[in-house]
Amino acid sequence: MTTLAAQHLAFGYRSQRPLFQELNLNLKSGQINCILGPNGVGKSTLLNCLTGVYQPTSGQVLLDDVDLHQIAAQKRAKKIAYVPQMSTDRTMVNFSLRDYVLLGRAPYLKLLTTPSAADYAKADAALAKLGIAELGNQPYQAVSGGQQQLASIARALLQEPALIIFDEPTSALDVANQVRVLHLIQQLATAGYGILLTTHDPNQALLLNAVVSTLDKAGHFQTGLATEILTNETLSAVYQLPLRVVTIPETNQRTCVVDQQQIEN
Amino acid sequence: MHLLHLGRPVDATTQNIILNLRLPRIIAAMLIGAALAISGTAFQSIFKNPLVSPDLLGVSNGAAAGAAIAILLGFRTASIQMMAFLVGLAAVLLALLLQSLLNSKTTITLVLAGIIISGFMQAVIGLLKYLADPEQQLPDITYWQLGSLEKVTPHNLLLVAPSLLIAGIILFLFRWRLNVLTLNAAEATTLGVNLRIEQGIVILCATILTAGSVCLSGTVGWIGLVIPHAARLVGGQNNARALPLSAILGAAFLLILDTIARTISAGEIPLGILTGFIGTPLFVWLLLKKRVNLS
Repeated sequence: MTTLAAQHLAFGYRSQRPLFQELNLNLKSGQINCILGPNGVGKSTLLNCLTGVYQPTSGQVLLDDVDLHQIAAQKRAKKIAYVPQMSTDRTMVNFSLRDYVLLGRAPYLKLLTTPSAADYAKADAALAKLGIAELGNQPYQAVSGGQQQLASIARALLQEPALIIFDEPTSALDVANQVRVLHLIQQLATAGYGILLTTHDPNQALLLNAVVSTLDKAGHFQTGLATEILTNETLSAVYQLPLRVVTIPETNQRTCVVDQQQIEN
Repeated sequence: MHLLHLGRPVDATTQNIILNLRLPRIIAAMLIGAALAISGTAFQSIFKNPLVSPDLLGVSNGAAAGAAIAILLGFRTASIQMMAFLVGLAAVLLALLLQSLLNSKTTITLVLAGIIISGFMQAVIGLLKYLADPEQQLPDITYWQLGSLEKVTPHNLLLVAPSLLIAGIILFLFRWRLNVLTLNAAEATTLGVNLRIEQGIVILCATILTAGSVCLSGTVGWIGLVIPHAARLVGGQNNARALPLSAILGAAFLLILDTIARTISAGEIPLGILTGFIGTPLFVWLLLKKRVNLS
């Protein structure tokens, strides 16, 4: 069982108002935690603090009770994997998909060595597991956004981590791929991975059986079960827009809609 | 010593020409071609930009300024080369220092620092040219900037070659790791990379390769930009293949160009002119072939 805990976390860019303060968060193996909030509130920044990329302004992040910044990057990378947002600059990344996935072996390779046949076998196995084995020889930029996202998840699996942190895993995908990726995330949690993901779409949070946290522009951070947090009041406050969570009777599914009547009034 | 067992003794003049003139020059051409191509490949990877050449951080202009200072002070060839090497390294160190003075760890600040140092070194060269004696020193500086392998001797080759070989071997062993450094900072860090150390190793080795090359040959442009593109076109983006391939292509390219440079006319054509005239259309052709995404 691996745990990641943020305690009294605060972060602000130089001389700017902190994006969040006194933020507490817990992630365990087998659990999904979804961080929901509008664009630009600092969700990606929070993830950068939780992965050890940024040093928080105050507070700390503990990985199995040890401060993240006391652990070497290489050792951290064997515990926590990060799946970046799709919009990341990729000018020079045009390796074959297999070579791209293989980058996940970096934490296990010494500085001046190259991957072994066993590492290649792991890359192929991960590609097969995600159903994109036949794309192994395709250049990264020649495959679709959904396939690139699957390759990034395969890369994360090659790190053999306990926890996987996703930055907006569905934001650049069409609805079919969104559902596919969210389904995959559920499967990963069932398989024992601890999952943390961000999204700006309340409906993504409603689709997942997850612990949900909200982060708003004022830096307020709340955590709770989806049923507690995803209410008309909380969502309307977070997005500063009249939002309603309604249940579709036929499927008994909850979904979030904009309350047009209130806007017009 | 018999160079080859052809059944006939080789006369002393031929032996001297081959051993002391041709052979060092051939070795130098191949070493420099490979060194510039490798450092270009490495720089393009860590700066995540296909338009980057090894002199991005000011090493070439620094080396030229160093050479100009030495020429003005009336130094001999070996000392001119040593000054070029040292000031080339110093220019990159200045760029790194400027980056930390600007209190930034981002790549873009480092690139800007490189542009600033390059510009300053160009100003230094301009001033030195203005001060130089127009009969002797000014042509020497200008000719040095145009690049040539004419002044390579076994002695100065032996002086520089070890550092080129060591830096080249380290980058060769680092070739797969360059793929990880191609990713953005957050991704590379979460893959276990210590960016400061690993980027530092690459910048140091690439700078030694470029400064070592430039001090032997003067400024030879375009190889560090064009050859990595050619290697990636043939062998793909994976640096584990692209880096060794660019070393081979770079070595072959400069060897051919140097052969042309010393045989096409009665005098020698400076290498920098040839690499420019052949490198630029070649680059256009490569871009057409590859249709690289430069955005």
